Amino acid sequence: MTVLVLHHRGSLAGAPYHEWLADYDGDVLLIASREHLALVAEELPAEGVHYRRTAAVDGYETSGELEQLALELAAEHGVRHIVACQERDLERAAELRDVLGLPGQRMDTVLPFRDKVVMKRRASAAGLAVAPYREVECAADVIASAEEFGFPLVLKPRDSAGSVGLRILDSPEDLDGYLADGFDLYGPYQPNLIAEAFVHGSMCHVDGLVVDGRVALAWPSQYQYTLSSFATDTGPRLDLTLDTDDPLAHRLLEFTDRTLQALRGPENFAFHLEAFHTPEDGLVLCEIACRTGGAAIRDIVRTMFGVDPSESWVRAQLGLPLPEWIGSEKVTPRQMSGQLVLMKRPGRVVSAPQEPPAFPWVEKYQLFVTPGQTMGAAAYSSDFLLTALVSGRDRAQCESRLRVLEEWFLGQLVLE
Amino acid sequence: MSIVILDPDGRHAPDYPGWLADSGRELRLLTGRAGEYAGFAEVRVVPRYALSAAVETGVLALARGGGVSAVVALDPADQIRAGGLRDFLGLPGQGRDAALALADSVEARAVLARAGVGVVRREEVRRVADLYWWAHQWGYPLVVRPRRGHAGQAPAELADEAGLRAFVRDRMPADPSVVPSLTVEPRTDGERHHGPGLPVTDAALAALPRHPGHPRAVEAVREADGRWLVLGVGYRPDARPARALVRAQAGLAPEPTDPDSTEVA
Repeated sequence: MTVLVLHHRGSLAGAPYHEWLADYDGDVLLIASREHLALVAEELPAEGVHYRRTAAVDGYETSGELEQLALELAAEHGVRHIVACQERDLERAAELRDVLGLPGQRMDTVLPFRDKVVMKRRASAAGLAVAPYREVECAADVIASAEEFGFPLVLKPRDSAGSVGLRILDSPEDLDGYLADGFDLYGPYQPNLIAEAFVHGSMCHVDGLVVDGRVALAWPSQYQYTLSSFATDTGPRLDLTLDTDDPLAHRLLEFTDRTLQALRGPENFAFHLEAFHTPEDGLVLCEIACRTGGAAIRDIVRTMFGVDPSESWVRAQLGLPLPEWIGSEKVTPRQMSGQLVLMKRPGRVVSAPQEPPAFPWVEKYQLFVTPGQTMGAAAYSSDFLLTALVSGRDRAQCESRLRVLEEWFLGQLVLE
Repeated sequence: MSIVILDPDGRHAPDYPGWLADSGRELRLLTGRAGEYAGFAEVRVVPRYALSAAVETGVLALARGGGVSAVVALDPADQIRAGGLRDFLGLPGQGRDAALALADSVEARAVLARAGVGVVRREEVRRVADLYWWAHQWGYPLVVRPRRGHAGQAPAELADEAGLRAFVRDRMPADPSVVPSLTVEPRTDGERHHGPGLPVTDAALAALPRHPGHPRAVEAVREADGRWLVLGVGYRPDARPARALVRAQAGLAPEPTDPDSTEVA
């Protein structure tokens, strides 16, 4: 009755699998990435305390050490479940489950969420709007895409996550520059790129949980900023949950239901859907992941519903009990939430408030720099200076509180 | 109007002017190798030819300058980019999707399977776990080969899990942001057949796109149960005289002695 946990990136302290599985009648084994543990300045947990066995592997994604070790641990400990919550672990976990004959998500329910072409085909076939796109095999495909879709033109890997590899060409000059200096499609590797029309409008996201094949909880939020502008945006990036009486919220929930039906996921999973709300009042699917959303989205869901979506997802996979209200009926949030993100920006940190202010509505406060540290521009979409979460009765109150928090933080941040 | 010729190493450059003398077109050459080239209205030497999009932007600049009537490209590595250019410029000849079906074994397999043509088991390898999964499905030995026939990558046989691990260590890319261009299949030892003449190879050639100047090869293998299945298809320019292929791709009529430029006997 052993569980094998694969932990790719992010804080292990922030994902306490051993606590989530405290009532599981069996051992928990852990394989983590040595490189990513170092990035979050964490040590591999000692064996025999919270985890029966722990291992940190080098070259977590590609060296093959993980697969070899997983199979060895499975043989040695009689592994009955594999838990993998991070995007780039989904395929390998599905394949390892198949090899080992374990229950849980398989490739047929991973691919529609990981392969953007499969995702778009299925969504489109179900009548959902998606951004027009082309699979890119050669430079002429990029040029033809620009001619067909115009500018801005979005280039992104077919199966990446977290905006990694995303490129937006704003103009013909940008395209020329890309073809001259950034184009790297030819060579020994497989092209893995799609070109997509830029969809104007605000980005909304719907986060939730499917249990036993049914949406147990879900709620939409709306980014008040452009996700792709992370490297140059040093202003406040706000993300606000929509109000219960906002018609857009209910349209997004219905859109999410239809997307989930079209993609046909596994029995139990957390999801993070992103959709554009266009100036013409349409909804266009950007993409959907079968995992908890990144950054503070896990905390947003926890603030709204009082449960951790990742913990619930893991427990549901193993058949462990969830709060009784989950799955009995669709629920609405008990309170609303908003997130403030400030991206890293060039400068040396002289001082920054390490602790949150004493506002009772600050649900989470996380500073990512220390005095003396020199920052560059944000290198990726989660290269944060600060993330903070507030609660409130509605969107207006959450936004107002985020503005107060931002003013307080910037008033104390000293850079040189 | 011009005929644009892509030739990475200029190997046929001395011959194009003679082969295409009756075209009435100006010839413009894009090549990766500098040299003395006679008989062309223009020669562009493209640094890093194999990797650079400057080939495409160069052709498009020529098209804007005075029009292009045909793109000629014999080298296998140029087929997809030449097809993309023909599509974009609205030129006759083999387009990007047709080129892909002959260049990429996974695409080819999909085309043939859709047409109901029996093909051997072969699947793409995008990650390490795929190899373990296919070993679980098929058992060992497995053969891993380049998906698109990149030079310098010989097929590898994985006899067992130790062989799989060695392959991963030595041959799989360490960079997680790239996708390996590999396929995996169970080893097949049966009798081989090249070219048309079997129902299955004839069916494969009928299902694959056919364009003048692009000879196609097909290979079949007899399975243990006696069935013939298609093992591979591809573009085989060395199977026909280069002159005939160049003239066909340029849209010129074949000479009486020219063989069919679309099939390999």
